[in-house]
Amino acid sequence: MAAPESGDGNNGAARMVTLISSDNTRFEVEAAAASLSQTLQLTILDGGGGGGDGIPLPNVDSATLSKVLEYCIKHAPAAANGGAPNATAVDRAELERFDNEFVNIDQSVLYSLIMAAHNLEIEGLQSLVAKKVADMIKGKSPMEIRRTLGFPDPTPEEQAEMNAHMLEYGWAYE
Amino acid sequence: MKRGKREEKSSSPPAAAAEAAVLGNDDLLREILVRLDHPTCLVHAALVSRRWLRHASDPAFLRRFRGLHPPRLLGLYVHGSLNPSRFVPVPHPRELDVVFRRANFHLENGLALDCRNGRVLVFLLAQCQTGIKAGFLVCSPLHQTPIIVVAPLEEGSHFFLPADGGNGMCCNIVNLVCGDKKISAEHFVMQAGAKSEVRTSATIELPSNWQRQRCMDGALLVNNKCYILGNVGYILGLDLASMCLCVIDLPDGVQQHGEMKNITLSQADGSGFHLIHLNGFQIQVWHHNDSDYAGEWQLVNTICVRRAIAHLAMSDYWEFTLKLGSSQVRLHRVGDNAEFLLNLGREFFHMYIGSKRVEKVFEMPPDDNSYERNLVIHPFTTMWPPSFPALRDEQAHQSQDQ
Repeated sequence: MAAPESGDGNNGAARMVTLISSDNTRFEVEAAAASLSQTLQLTILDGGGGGGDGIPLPNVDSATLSKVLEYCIKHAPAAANGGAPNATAVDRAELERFDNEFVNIDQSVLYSLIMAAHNLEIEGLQSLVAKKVADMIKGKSPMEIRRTLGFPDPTPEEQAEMNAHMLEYGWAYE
Repeated sequence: MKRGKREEKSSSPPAAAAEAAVLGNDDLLREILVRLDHPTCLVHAALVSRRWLRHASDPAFLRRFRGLHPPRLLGLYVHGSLNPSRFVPVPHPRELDVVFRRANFHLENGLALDCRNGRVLVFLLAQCQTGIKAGFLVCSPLHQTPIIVVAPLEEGSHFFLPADGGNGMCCNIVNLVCGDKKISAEHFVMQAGAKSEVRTSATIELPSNWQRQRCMDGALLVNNKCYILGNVGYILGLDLASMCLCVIDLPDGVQQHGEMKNITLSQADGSGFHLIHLNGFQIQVWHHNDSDYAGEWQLVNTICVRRAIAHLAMSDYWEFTLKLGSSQVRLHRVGDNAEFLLNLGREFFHMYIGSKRVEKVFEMPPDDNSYERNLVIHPFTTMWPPSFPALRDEQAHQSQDQ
């Protein structure tokens, strides 16, 4: 299968690696982008992923991996500058805009991303997606949180306990 | 019993597997909970299920949460020399609306003397059958509980709430007994209206006669030690454990301008305290290590007022104020760790030294003459730690809702 777009593409000098999703789609990306993943970094440093080999990722499907790589490609230049201490305000604002847009996604995609970011150990992405779920919860009552996250409705007994606790503790102060 | 298992399942099948994997993973759940920003949101999340409660109320988790989200300024108690304290809320995020809806910040006709961790020490004059009665109360604006009388009036005392705010019924009182270039201190605790034994320090010599500040916001209680800034260029330190009283000189080059409010003290994160010094349009932040009173001053930060607030204060009024000169700039203590409030004419700015953030928090209306030079300001912040329901049957549930 043809590899999906990988941002700037091959600019000659950059080393490329191939990642293979659980449904056998091959993704060719710059090693620098893939190395945002702590897990992949070691394999890549050992020279893996090049040529015809490819690194199999049995826990990540192609839809999720393509989304993960979109993030890595965007963030790779800043990460290469060591967290970009010299980045301009414009660059930082652009990354922030990208991040906000990036997590504006369906809840099921978001959960798949969280698992992938966790398994691949991509620190920035882990933080971004956890923050997104936290933002979905913030300012909501326990019942609203359960509904937002698709938990089943509580039993009458659980509901009664929750109501009692809300009265007593519900706004964070005794 | 079934609750633990049931909650991990989603009602929408396609999302179910990934969602169950995420929310069922303790590490991932904690990463989400720790990003909730406000204790209020954390408590709401804790009530979602027993498993969430167990994570949210875990001490190690709470330490991390507190480190990431320090208590937040909710508003200021402000009073002048002639009028009672009034509460001025500062801008807040939507998630804290519930706090503002339910709290009762009104202090009747009282004066706020100290605020610690959600408790306010209030001086109140009340009309009663036998005439006018004066007293001290501790208020908890964020609680539904009524205010409690803690102490009768004593002239010239310094009052300190315990650092954690206390149980709402307790307050430290320090009286300074002055002589000719001499001073001693006495300390007692008022607990639910009852006075503890009075302990007294030895009398010490002073470089000059003690002059008390009229506004009492230059006094601190840190790690069981009191620091009281006077009006004559030195600080009195009193160790409440040993009742050892001493004089702490101001840092080299720091000049105090009497009631001009160019110096304030603030508790430091970790140990010791900060002295914030306003000199013209420059602010210096000094740190004093309190391991012993011979501790040394260290200059930790220098800030240019004009530069710090240039991006915020573009009004004509501000330009006009700056032209009048630095006498229009005043400092007020706000919070721990060298957070302070800068007063420029009618406008007030909150400066966070750690994050170098500056926010405009309020502006007096042009026709409001109730504020004047000797404005006393006490910051009111969110409380820590939050209260959670007790985990009952912990053992029985632990195995089931992993």
